Amino acid sequence: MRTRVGAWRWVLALVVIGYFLVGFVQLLLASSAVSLVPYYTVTDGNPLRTLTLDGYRAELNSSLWAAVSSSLVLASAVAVLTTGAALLLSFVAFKTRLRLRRAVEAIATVPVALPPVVFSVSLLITVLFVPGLVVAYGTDVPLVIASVIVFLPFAMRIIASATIQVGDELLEASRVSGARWLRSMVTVMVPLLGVAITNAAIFVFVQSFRELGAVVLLISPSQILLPVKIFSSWEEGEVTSVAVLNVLSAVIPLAVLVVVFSARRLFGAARRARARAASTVDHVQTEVRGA
Amino acid sequence: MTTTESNQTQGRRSGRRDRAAAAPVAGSAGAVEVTNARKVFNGFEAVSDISFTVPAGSFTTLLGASGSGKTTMLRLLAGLERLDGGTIRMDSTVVASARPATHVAPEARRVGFVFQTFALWPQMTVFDQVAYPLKVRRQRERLRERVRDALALVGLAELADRYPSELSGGQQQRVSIARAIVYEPKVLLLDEPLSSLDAELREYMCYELQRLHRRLGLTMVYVTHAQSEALTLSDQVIVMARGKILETGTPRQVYERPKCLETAGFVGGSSVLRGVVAERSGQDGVRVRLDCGGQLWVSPRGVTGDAAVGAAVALAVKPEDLAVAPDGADRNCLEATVEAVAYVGSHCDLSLELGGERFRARTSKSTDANVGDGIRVRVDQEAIRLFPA
Repeated sequence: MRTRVGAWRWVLALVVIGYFLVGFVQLLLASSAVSLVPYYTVTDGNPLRTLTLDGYRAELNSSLWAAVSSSLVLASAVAVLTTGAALLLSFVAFKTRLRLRRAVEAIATVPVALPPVVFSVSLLITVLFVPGLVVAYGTDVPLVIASVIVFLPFAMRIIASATIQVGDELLEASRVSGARWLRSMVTVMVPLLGVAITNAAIFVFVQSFRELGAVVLLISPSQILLPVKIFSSWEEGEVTSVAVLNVLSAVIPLAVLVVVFSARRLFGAARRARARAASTVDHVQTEVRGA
Repeated sequence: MTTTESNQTQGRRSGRRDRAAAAPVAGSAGAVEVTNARKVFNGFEAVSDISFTVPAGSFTTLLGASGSGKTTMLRLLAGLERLDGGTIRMDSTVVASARPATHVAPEARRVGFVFQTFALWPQMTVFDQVAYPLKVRRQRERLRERVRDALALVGLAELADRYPSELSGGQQQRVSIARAIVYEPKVLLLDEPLSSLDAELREYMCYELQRLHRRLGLTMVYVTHAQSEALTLSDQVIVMARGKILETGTPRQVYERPKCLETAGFVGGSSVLRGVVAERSGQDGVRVRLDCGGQLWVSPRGVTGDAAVGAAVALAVKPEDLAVAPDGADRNCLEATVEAVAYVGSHCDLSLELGGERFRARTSKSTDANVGDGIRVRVDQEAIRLFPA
């Protein structure tokens, strides 16, 4: 039964709308507004008169696309790797009897407690001072490693709680059917965790698209990422530029979210329709047989 | 099913057997031998020092209350648990042993397993579920045909495209049976497969399982807490309690001539009356003076132990061996008070009280007894089992 909240519904509606306004509309409006003025000022009489797309034009002419595309590639790689690792570690922690399984869960949780910049620093030191590793400096590899470590605990939370819900006997049934553990994981667990896996991947993608702490120290002057560009533009006092980049780094993940959720909806609807069709056919058959 | 039909199916199946004859699977494959099996969970001994054999092609039931270790034993056979002691052999090959440590993984044991909860994969159609064991074993030859055969065997050929959520409980269970037998395992292990079905379906599936066993001729090891299933289905019943085997025998042996009081109580639903041996006679057996009042004769066949005069003993009396005493009867009669009456249709279940002891009687449906009435019941002398107390 759904709970009836009575007069409280006005209060609850206010909370929801307020959150939406402050957390979302405000952010987009503020950034958009600033991105459309040539320079930032508080005492302008009529701001509408000065609105211009020059900010966007300027950014499009600069290295913006390089930043966007390398941010997209990095975020995608981090999302895939983090989700894969979280899946494997959840399986080890909750569906095996390895001695290490408790340690796995602990190790995957620890990064929550540390600021991302710590990983950035330690990885930088490792890359620069361990002989032979310096070739990795300036490539995407250290960035990906740092980001995966930072986001693993979050992906792990999402996937582990779904993993626990999958009954042990579903995996055991696969084992006695003749499948080894890896195949059992891929064919039995992964499809059942579909929602959790896409949720984790989206979360990591969106977060790492704008995460600065994990990458800021590892990045070399030849690499450009959106969050780093925002940071340096701010340092240089180019407020309009910051606002333009801000709007982009909100709109791009949003677009990805919309695409993924729509795809999931369509997929789910198709599956339900197929199931309905199957049961209707049987229903008709039964009726025919009855007649 | 008509005779012709069944003959055809038999023919098809034996044809497949012939083709498979190249594999080292003998006709009498599937014997299981368990020696001193032990399994400990966090200091709790779930299975302690159990030994038994399951003859090839037999239907063996592990019967026991919850916590008796029967399911753990079955999981040990499947390889889903590791032995802490002892050895398990299948067809004389060691598949599990504590020392030297051997553990053949479940996927390599050639056993089928039917779970209490069915354990169907919700994202797969019935066809895919049943095809799965063949696919992972790379037996792609005649795959569709074999899946269809297995589904036909459990009567689900038309539902191949359904998802588990679109099936009833009984249909789901039959899918899980089809999945377990499709690759022709040597041994089929069933963990309380009927306990989540309703009573009517349970009876029907009991019959279906018997039919399957006759048709396939494979070794079946069946775990249940329901004595009726154990008695109906089995060639051999192994009664378990507290991780140990109480006794092993045919259904008739464990039901009619249990070797201990605990089996009598669990398998036969016997009531226990305690007393002291008052008299022994070669022909008439043993006369026992009951602690609750009255006395009963026990025939010599029913006596376990020496039952010397003066020894304390316990009598196990099954409800159906009590009847309302006919007029004038005297021997082996007890005067009791009716505490509860349950009219079941085919018979009456009475709960009786005598001197503080409670026991049950299953009397004819015509019994006209009310709560609080005094009633005279006669106990069948031949059916009473006497055990040392």
